[in-house]
Amino acid sequence: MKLLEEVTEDITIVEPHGRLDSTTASEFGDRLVSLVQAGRSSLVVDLKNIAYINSAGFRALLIANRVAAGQQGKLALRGVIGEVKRLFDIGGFTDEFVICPTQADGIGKLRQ
Amino acid sequence: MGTPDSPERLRLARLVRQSPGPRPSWLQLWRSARPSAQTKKPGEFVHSLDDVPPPLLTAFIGFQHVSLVRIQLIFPALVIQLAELPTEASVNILSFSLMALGVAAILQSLPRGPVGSRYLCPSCHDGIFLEPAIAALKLGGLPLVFGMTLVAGVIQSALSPILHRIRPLLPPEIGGLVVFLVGTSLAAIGCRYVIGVGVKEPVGRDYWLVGAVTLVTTVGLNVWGKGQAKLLCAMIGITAGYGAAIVTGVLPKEAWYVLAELHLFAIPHFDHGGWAFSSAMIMPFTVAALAVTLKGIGDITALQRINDAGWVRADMGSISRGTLANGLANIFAGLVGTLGLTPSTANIGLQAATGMSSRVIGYAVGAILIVLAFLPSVTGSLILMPRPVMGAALLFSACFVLISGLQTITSRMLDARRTIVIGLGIAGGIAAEIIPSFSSDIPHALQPIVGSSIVLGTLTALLLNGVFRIGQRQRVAFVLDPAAVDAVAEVNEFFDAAGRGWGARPDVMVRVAFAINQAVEAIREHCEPQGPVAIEARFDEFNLDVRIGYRGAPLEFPDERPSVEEIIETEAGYRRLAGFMLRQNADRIRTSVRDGATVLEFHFDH
Repeated sequence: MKLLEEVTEDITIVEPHGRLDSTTASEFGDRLVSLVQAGRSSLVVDLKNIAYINSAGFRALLIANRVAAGQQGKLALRGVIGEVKRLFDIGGFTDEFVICPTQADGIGKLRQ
Repeated sequence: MGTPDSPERLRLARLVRQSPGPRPSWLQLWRSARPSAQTKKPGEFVHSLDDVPPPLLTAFIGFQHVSLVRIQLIFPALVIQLAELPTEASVNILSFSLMALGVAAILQSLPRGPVGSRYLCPSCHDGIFLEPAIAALKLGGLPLVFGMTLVAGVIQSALSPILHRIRPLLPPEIGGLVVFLVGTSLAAIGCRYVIGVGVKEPVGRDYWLVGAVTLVTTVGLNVWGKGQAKLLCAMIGITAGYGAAIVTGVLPKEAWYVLAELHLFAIPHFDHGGWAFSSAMIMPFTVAALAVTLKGIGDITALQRINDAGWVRADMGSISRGTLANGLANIFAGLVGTLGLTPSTANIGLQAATGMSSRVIGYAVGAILIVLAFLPSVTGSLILMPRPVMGAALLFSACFVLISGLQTITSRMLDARRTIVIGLGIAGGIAAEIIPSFSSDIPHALQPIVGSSIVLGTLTALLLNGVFRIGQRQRVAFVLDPAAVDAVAEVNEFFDAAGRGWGARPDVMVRVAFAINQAVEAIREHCEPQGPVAIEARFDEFNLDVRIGYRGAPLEFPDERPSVEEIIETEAGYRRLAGFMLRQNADRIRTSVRDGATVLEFHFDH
């Protein structure tokens, strides 16, 4: 799985590409947690290039969300569209995360 | 893909195959054949299927439906003009058209018995019968048109009880192709009429202006209009075209004098000269009957969807009865002497727009149409419709027919076989339209087939579809090692190819892909599988069933999602999340353990 990162002042934007399944979720989740523990606890995770996410991917996101909250940080998601949006809906995860339509909106939410 | 068959793999595959699957029972299917007893009223509907609206409201909505149906009288009017009949005989045919439309509306609305879709389903004339009717008119005059319309009705009635069996031979993408070809045929006739190719009257600036006024008014109201103006844009556009034709002299004032001879009330008379039949016309009218049936399946399915908020599958009982009603209406149309009919798609849209789908409105529509059949002066003006006005109306109609056909074609996944079926079907249709001379070199008996774009294109596609079905499997099976790194990718490729081969809906195949991916990963992570995992999928037009067999602990499919704490902190919560998502993703799900092997069964409505 390809993982792009961009740091903008106090916000880190993480953009995974490909699939978030049991093979890739632990690497992805570990990276999010290590970013938070390194003090970059305000994260925008852009899922626009994710083609598939399963229970392992959702668990990784939930863990990162909790760790960020524990560090007084926040995790915002964007790019929740198409099939990924459907899977968020059927898993009942839409209300568990801060989901934003645009990256700018996500950054704004994190700075509130 | 997979590895050589071992005894264990074969045993697992056999177990998966023998599993009955979570399909609906025959009792469920039988119950689904009673729409009003089972359907869930859509929230936005004011008066649904079994409601009885107040009489005034029923009459008002009925007239709206009749307005839409009446516009389509342009098709018999066009054939009548080509036949060059005297005014009274022309109006008489239109009166019988109205009568046949009235009978069709009532038959479709019948609440019980073997005939009728049991929905508010007014019929109309449309382009499907136009090309065969023009060909029959040229070959044997109106008696041949009426006789062959009767034959088409008999064919359609005969098809109705076996529709569910022949559906594989008439897949939806071929239905879309037929609609597309009807659209090209309408567009070609429309263009000829608007430009003035082959018309007798002098063609010049005024002639083109009349076509332009009709088309611009219709399109303008459709795009920018609101409410009734948008709904009745075609009728208003045609009226504006009449106005322009009178002002410019394209429709001379003297032409109106013939209408003065028409009575306000008259009983239509049966003196159309009888019926004629020709073996040369069997094929064009058979294809027209098939095309009307395919279109009817789509229309009645749309009615089922808009009338039932809980719709999950097409009710074939209602579709068969609706097809029989349409067939009987076409027999009636042929007997009394007019063109064939088909369920009206525009009227289905009107139901959704008004929120009124009561069957009682169907009876009102039928009654109004039958009464209009006795008022020749009301319909008489249609026979005077100037050619450029007809051409513009046909062009406008062609836009929607063409796009509707394309949408149906592209709503399915198409593999190489299906792409060739549709591609060559379109090529055949276009060839007949743009190279008409090539039909003159072939035997006389085959000319009605090769000379018609709809017939040639549809037959090409049907024949190729029949040939390509040889060796095509509706059941596919796959055995994989769940520990293999690329196992999931291989399964995805395999089922993508299967979906294209079946012509499955892409949205359903996406759900199937998730089910297989999530299930295989959950088995690998949580169920300690011993040995391979066997996967089998079966497809028919309405069901897609997937079974996954393995030796290992069964997966749990909870009704409620575990809490966030459970998912994060416990292995059980994480495992149950996988089962919960699989349950939510499928329409039905079941798990069973037999001889030490677990079989997961997923059903997807298609």
